[in-house]
Amino acid sequence: MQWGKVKNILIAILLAVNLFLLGNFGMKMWQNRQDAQRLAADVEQLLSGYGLTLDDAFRLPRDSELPTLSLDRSRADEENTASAMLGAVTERIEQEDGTVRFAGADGTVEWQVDGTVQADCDTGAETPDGDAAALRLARRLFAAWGLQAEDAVLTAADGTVTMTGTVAGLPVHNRALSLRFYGTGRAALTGRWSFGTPYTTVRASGTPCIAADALLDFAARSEQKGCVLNMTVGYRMQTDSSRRTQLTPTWKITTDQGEYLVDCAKKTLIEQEE
Amino acid sequence: MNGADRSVKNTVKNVSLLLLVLLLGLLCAANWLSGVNMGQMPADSPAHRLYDSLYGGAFGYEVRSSGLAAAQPAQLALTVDGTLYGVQYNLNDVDEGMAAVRPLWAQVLADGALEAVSESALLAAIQAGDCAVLRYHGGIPLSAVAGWMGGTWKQGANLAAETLVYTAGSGTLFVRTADGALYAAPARAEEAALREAQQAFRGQPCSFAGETYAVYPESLLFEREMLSLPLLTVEPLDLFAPASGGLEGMLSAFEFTAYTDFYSEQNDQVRVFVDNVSTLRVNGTGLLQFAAAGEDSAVRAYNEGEVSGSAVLDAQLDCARQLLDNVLLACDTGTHASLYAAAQAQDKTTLVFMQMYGGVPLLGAQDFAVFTFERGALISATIRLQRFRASQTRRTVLPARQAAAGTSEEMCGMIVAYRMQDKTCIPQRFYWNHTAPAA
Repeated sequence: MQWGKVKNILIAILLAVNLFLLGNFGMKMWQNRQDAQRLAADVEQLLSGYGLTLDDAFRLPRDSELPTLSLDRSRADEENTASAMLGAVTERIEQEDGTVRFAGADGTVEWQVDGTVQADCDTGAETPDGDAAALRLARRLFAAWGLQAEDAVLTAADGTVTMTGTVAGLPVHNRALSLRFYGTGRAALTGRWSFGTPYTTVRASGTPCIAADALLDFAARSEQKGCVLNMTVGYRMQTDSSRRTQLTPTWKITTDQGEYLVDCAKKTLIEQEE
Repeated sequence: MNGADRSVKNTVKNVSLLLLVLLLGLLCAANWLSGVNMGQMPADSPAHRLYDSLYGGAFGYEVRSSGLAAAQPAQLALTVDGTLYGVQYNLNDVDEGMAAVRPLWAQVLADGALEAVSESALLAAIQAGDCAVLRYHGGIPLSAVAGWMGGTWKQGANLAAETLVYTAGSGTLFVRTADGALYAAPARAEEAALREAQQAFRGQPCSFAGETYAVYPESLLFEREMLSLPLLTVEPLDLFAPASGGLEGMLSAFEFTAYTDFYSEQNDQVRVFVDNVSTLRVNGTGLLQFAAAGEDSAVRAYNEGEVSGSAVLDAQLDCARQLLDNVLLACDTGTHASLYAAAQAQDKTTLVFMQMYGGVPLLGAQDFAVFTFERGALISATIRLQRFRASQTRRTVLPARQAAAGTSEEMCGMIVAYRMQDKTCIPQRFYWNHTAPAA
């Protein structure tokens, strides 16, 4: 047989197989889309029973399975940040609950075991005039203090700059730093932060994060009325019983009334839990 | 058809074939990915990581095979500038101390031939130079301790070590076992590792008891010791309360779901969850009893052929620790667990955990948690959950030096622990003679 004919036959077979696979894949995608639309309609109907509506732009996020991650507290990073903020640390006091307080000529820094930080220091620069200048100064100070974030987002309002960022590629809903400039070259830093790379273990199982379940649990438990604008899956920082910092999979649901956190595993509203 | 036309046609066919093969590969991958259950794929597999980065899952985190210790030391000590400094019964202090001495212990715990030695050998060694001490609650297999520190120990791997003393002067590792026996093996850490640990370690001045009192010579006696701990009150636990959210998390820890069939007993005080291979009996007030039909258990430390040798115990410890952490987190007990004993017989391993509040053990009439593994499968588990809250009242524990002075002639150890008295947990100093604690 000539090679030309062999190639023709091969092309025909490959075309047929590819068309079959394409059809199969397309069918699955179409089925998924139909299921998602049906689910969204059902959820909307159920939510209306609780007095909640979905915004026109709202789309149910894709379900996912996220591992609970752990973070080791880094006293070395905390001390480095304190040294950078204060110029030189003249006093270091560790309290019984794990809070470490640093003091220096330029101010004070306090780190708590759950990552909460409170600091007041001299910036060595003039107090910025306007939000744009505040953003520029904050970006420079955060870098100098070693407070870096993946996908860092800085926003400014009324002289206060807030920095958020992702950990393991996802937002941590209660991890943010606010830097307020005041007086003559002074700044107050507050918020919750973490250092280092999070980890899990090979045998750790993931937590299913199912958007529809979270929305319905939110509606049933919150007794909120209003419109759901969007929801995002991510993490929240919490300290477990052995004082290890955990990143727990959590939904953030934004409504026209405010923002709410729902634990993916327990299906509880965080305010209610705490 | 001339030669040039034939050549063009041939090239077109070749390119088409190549493109179709590439498309075939892509479509096969797309079909496979759309049908695969990512939840069942190992978190560290490249496919899982690719899927997560494509579809918004978590990525960029470390996946550790083990490494989280199932027990934290009760006491740590290290000689710095000729003076012994130590930390004890405080999670923060112990965490910080561990970070400083871990590299040193990783070098010390690098295997050796253990031999039974006399107390006088230990006494002589601790007076001969710099020392490092690690003391655990209960007897921890030496191989597990070595693994947590980053070292390895194979000879006498299952020896239940309670206290480890490294004497740099004599280059010896002493191991006090849970039954009070003393062993020693040659050990050597680099001078630089010792210096680095000494620079980073912070603690309170203390000394060895030596032969002054009827306690083990390596017992740490702190100068000006003022161990003040809060009294704990027991809060009622209702695992079935809808608002608690704990039941689902707890079921998930045992690989059950909220939809697993169950039946109630004792006026719904007890719920028994049953699936094809295992049963979980949950008492609303906190008693959990899990039983599985042998190797079919859904809770597994490892699958057949995945691990062997000392890694078997590591995997079982990891599985039990993780399960307990999840249960305690779900039920918000305010406590954590620490390994207390491990026993291996043929293919069965029994792990016993004690409940801890802020680094101090809570002693009860029964063990807090007991796990039994048959090879990789968890075949039974009992957990006695209790929720504690610290009260404003604090109690100062009898200093170790005074307690040591009050010992009888029989040599013993000393621990600080909570024990229940009239519905309140009170911290006290106990003598520990390896049969039962006595206040």
